[in-house]
Amino acid sequence: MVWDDRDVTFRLEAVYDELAPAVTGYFRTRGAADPEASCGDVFVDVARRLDTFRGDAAALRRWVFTIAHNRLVDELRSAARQREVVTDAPPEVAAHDDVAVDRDLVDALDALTDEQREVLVLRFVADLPIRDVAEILGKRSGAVKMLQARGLDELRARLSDGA
Amino acid sequence: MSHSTDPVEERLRSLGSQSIDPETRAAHLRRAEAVVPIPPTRRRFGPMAIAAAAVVGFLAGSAGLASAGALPDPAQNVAHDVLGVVKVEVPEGGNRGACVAQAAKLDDKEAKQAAKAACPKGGDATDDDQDGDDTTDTTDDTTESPGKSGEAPGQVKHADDPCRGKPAWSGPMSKEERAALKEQFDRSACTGDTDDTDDTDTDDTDSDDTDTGG
Repeated sequence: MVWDDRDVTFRLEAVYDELAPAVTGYFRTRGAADPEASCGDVFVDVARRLDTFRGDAAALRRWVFTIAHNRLVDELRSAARQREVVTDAPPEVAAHDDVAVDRDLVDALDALTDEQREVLVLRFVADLPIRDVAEILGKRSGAVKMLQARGLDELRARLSDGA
Repeated sequence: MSHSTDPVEERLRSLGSQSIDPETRAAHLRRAEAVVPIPPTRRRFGPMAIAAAAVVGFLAGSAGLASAGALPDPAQNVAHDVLGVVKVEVPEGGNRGACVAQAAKLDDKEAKQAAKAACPKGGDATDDDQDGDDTTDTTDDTTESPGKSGEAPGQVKHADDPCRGKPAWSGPMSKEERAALKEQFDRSACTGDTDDTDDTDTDDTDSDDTDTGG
């Protein structure tokens, strides 16, 4: 999929249809409070800058998930700050929406380290290659590969235990 | 991109391929489309077109005012010169501003009003002081500046009758000068006797010489 200078609105719809399910899945598995609203926010950002984007489908996917990742980091930080201010409040648990999700898998993901979970979600839910995951997270490809391998091992073990 | 057949990886991938609710999709796209920047090609007028229209409007407006002679004198003179190059007839600006400013320097109220009234008005007064073909002016305004002999600019001087017109001692001058002129042109004698008509011209030139101390 190569994006040319066609109408931006038309391109936006095509980009949304192509990537919105993965973006929503990314927020859902990373513990966002409202995955669908966060997905909507990402595409507002995308719409603002889509006319300046130049690149192929892989670059577009990397660009959109960079926006999503930055938004999630901001959300998790502000949630942590709110918990620090209101010390009596219990940690927020992500509100799971009505969409039928693989609950066992999501629970197993929650048990991984934050880095392992981030790598696995970007690698498989967002369907990004290791090189792009490394770029988004600011890590080397070797480190990403190691986190992926350990995360998958952990996940398999937990899922087999639960089965 | 080739995908492996590992069941855990497949389950992870399926988390990112769940369809979006149509209402949610519509709401997201509505929000997103509202912030799509308008591409420059869609704008009817670019910044250059707006600037050009502003310049054309300014020039047209200025030319209209100039042809009506409604610009201030310096601007009217510039418009006259510039448009004259392209054979567009525009009235020349007068020198009313300078004339009024000079008249305002007079101390005597009557002399000041008369001087202001005598200043050229608008663009039609260009002949008053510049052409030199105004016979009434050339007879008297040879060397005097306004106010020194009590005459306003452009006003006809009663050279032959010192008992008429502005007194010679009106205008800025020292007390000594004024006293001397009053004595010289004593109007108490103006009861019909007009013998001292010759004094006016000679005394006017005297007042010029002594006025520098002001």
